[in-house]
Amino acid sequence: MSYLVTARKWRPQIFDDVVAQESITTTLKKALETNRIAQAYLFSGPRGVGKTTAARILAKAVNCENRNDGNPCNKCVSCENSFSGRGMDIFEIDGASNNSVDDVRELRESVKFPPLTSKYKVYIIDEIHMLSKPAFNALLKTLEEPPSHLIFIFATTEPHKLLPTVLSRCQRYDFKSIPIEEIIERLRFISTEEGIKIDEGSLHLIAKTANGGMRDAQTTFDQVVAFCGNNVKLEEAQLAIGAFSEDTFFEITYAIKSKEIGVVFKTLEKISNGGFDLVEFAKGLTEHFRNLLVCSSLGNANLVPLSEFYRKKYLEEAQAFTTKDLVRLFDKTTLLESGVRHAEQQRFFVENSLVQMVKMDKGIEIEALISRIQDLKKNFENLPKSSISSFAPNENLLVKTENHEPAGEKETSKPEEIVFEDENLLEQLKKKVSEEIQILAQEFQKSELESFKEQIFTLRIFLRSDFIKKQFETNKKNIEDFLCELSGKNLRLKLTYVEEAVTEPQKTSENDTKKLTDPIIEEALNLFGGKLEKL
Amino acid sequence: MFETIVGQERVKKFFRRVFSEDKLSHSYIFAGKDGIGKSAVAFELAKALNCPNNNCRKCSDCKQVLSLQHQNLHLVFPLPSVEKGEKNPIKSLSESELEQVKNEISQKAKNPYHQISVSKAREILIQSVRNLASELAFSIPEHNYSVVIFFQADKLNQNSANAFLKLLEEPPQKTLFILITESPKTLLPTILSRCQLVRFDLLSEDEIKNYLLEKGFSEEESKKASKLAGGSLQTALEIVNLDLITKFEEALNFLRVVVVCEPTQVLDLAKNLSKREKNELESLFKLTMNWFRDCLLLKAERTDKHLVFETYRENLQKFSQRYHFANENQAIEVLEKGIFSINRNVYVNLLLTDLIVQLNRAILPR
Repeated sequence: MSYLVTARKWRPQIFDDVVAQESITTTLKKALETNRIAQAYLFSGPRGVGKTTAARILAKAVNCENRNDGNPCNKCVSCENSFSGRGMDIFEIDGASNNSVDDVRELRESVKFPPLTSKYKVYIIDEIHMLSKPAFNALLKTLEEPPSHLIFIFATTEPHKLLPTVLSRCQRYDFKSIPIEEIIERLRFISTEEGIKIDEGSLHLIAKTANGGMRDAQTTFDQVVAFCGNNVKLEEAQLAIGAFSEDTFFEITYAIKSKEIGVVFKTLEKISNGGFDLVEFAKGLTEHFRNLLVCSSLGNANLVPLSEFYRKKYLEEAQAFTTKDLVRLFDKTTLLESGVRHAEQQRFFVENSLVQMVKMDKGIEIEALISRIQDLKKNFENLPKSSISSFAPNENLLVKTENHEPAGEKETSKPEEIVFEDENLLEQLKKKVSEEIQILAQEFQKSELESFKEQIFTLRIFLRSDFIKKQFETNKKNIEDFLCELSGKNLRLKLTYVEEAVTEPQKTSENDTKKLTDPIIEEALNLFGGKLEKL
Repeated sequence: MFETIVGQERVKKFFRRVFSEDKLSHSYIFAGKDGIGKSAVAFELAKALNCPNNNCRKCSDCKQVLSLQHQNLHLVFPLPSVEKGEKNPIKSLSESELEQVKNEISQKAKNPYHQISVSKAREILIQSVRNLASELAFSIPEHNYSVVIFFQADKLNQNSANAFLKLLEEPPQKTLFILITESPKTLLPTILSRCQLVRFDLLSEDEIKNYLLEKGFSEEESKKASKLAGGSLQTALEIVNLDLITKFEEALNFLRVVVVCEPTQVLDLAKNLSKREKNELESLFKLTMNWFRDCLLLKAERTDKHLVFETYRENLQKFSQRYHFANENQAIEVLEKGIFSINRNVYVNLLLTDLIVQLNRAILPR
């Protein structure tokens, strides 16, 4: 006999071999022993968990002459017949190909006749969810009150597509996906039987990629064995399946940590040359950040579904990131994962997203920022009164943090005070002027706000030549227009001119420089970006 | 075996091993980008399984397989939908459609890297699957092997995919299913779990270059085409027939307009370009995308890597110095979106104008 794939060769033949569905198999066995056999069963659950298998075993068992603890004996004539497909009383129908109402009518005709050789006539209808609505309805009467010799077994991956009237007429068994450990156990059993050496890592990898489906696992197992021969090692198995090793993802986190864009390109080059699927990569990357996030937020790696070695590595790696950053990165990767499926140029898309992730700045926690501001504020308030008053006359520095009234009010109450908004206005004005009147750009940049009261905006200009002065005079009207435009108020501009010779570098006496280094003043300057004019 | 196939060493090794150890499964999914040799490998397998004297390429069996006319070779691909009640989708084709299907198949036979595409065909029909089931049931080959190849298997719709499940799990003896697809993840999980997934690699630049050289293209042409092909032999063959220098110049011109962003120029260019074919615009966008990617590579100092705009390296360097603050990532995103929408029904003129302005903003962030 030619080679048969594992999933078919090792299809369980008795209930006891069906993996991880004990609740269902025990119920069925008990029912068989006590002869309480229902007329219709519905087996539902994800792919590759044993629905069709259980259906076939049940079909055999109901007709078996010497059942052993509810299991079919697989030796008697009836079992032999169904095993070789010669049985006249077991019908397996593909619901997806025979889904029309005509097919069901035919079926209804044929169920009338009693079984030929055995006790029951069993109809297994696989993929029952594909039956059309009229077909379902045509089946209802037969399903509710079938002849006593008749058993229906339905199997489907999508029970929600069935009519409620059908559901209510069946005994329903929901098969669950198979846990990794049980898949590994079964694969280990098969490989010893087949004389194949396979290491634990590969078994774990295969079971993980199977995602709860035994058939998926066995198909992958076949593939790995076909690729690696009779001695399977993890590295080769990875190559055969195209699974990514965790190290690839650690390279990416390394790139993010060290802000090296080059690493991203290098890693992606490796990936696409190895024929790996970028969608898979994105999926793996999301999982990677999920693992990091788990480690970072829980402080341990117990929820990381990996071997001890990698758990440790994840725990270490998680130290390098704050939880907030990981959340942001995790967010990015989920976007990447959903986007890459539809991207026209997948590689560019992935590269692009990764480069952005590398370029992302480290986040600062807002709480930390606020507490820092509050600390500063406290320090500021705790200053001895004298030190404040010593520079109180200086208008440029008279911006108090605790003063949080809206700017407008402040202007009316203390018009002579120069507040933030005005400095801002000046900055905007400077920008505007340097864009529009280029000849004045340089000089205007150096100008300072002298005062701002009663709608008169007085600017101090440091001059080097009369020429510039003339230019200012000619352009004064324009600048005033900008000012009105920017502030949205009707303001007037006044320019005072100072010879360049008396600019501040010389003005700053030794005394001032000493004061300048005063930590309080420095702090204040840092905070508000003002200019120390005099003390 | 596999002498004529470019690259794909891993896949070749896999199947050689499968044959030597007699572990051929009955169902495989061949996954990978279009034009990298999935069908070519499938045909080779069909030939090897049906040749009585060990893959000779000379016997009638081999020749028939290679011309895709062997009776044991079943090809399934999307066809125009049929009227209700019609059992055989081929019969309901109009004469011109039938002619097209024949033509496509003979082209595929000549060049396995060709894509079969029948106009108005959206899905693999359930009728095709049912037909296949009955054909397979009645033709159990004595010595040979039935090989069923699904092209664009992701085009199986809900009905046809479900109807295929039972057949796929337990087919008649000596049957091999090969499902060829670009995106295996879009297949039903029930189909995926029944098949071994064989991933095909993108071809390396050298592999493509050597192939093109063998086909008699010049060194320069082959080099450029292989760089732009993105790993696909079919794309390389398409590109090599185009005039590449003009393509590059066109992309540079496009960039010039983008950088200056002078309204009349922009409108003129958009108007001119909107008269072009959509795939031409797509390739222009892709090329421009490559420019920005090259910029990123330069910035990352991955200069050992081949740049697509290698011949324009100087311009590239000047550009990235001058527009130091350009946001290449944003530019690539804009272009990606452009490619996306150009393949849908949009007013091209408007799209282009907007795209140029957006690109300008990406290059010169305020």
